Amino acid sequence: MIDPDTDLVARAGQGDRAAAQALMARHLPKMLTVARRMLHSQTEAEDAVQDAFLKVWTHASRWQPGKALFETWLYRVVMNKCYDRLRKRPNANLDEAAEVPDAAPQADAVMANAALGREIEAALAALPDRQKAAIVLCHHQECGNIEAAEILGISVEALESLLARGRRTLRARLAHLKDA
Amino acid sequence: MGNGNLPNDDAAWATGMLKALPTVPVSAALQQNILASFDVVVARRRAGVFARIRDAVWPGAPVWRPITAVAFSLVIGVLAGTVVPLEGAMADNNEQTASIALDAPPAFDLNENS
Repeated sequence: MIDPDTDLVARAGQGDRAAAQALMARHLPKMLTVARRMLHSQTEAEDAVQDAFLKVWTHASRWQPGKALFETWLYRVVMNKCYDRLRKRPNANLDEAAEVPDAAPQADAVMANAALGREIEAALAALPDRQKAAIVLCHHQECGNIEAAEILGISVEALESLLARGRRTLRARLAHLKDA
Repeated sequence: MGNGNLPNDDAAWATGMLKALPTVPVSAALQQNILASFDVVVARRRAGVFARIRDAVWPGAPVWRPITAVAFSLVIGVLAGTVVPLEGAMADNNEQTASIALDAPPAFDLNENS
């Protein structure tokens, strides 16, 4: 298993700023997207990702290639930062789910797309954390089941169970969109 | 029947639905903050062994905080050490006396009773 990030991580660990910048450019968009989907808040997602990268810089000099792909490890760090934040705001999901925008037809197609996106995002945010994480990793980030299971620290069977339940709930909540 | 294809159908539906989500913008400020945190970590690492120990004990704290904490705990330790051992030592002596008394052979002076 060849990790394309090994060299960059090693160089960043030695204080090479260009390597750190390249590492950030490669992974930041994906990690920010995951955090945004998990936390349903841009500000919190940025904070979580910033914390995760601080951990990367701190551990880069001790990084041992071969144990896991750097990206898998980074996903796991970001997920854990998201869980920490979700744990600190009980019932936040319910509050945010209540903000599902009205599905009334919009005159402007752009507005309609934005509303659709918000509605899907709200339905996703209302899922239990583990189901949400599984759905985001497999269906949004297009991770394989094995990688996603490794990121979440669970078995592939458990991941498939989370996925099935998450998809079922999402589909029920967004049934009116499918019909539309 | 169609039921056999339901899970795959669900998966395709979920993937398609999540594609409708808007892309998440990466702000320049966030990138700058992340790189700034890299600079801080590198600067600390280069600051030397003392800074590394400080970071292990109290990450991100100014130097005076761990020094004050260590000095304060030292004072408490010395104060406690000057008071507590007296009682401890006495307890040890009592135990010692008792064990000597038990170990000692019984001594009777028969002539004293007559």
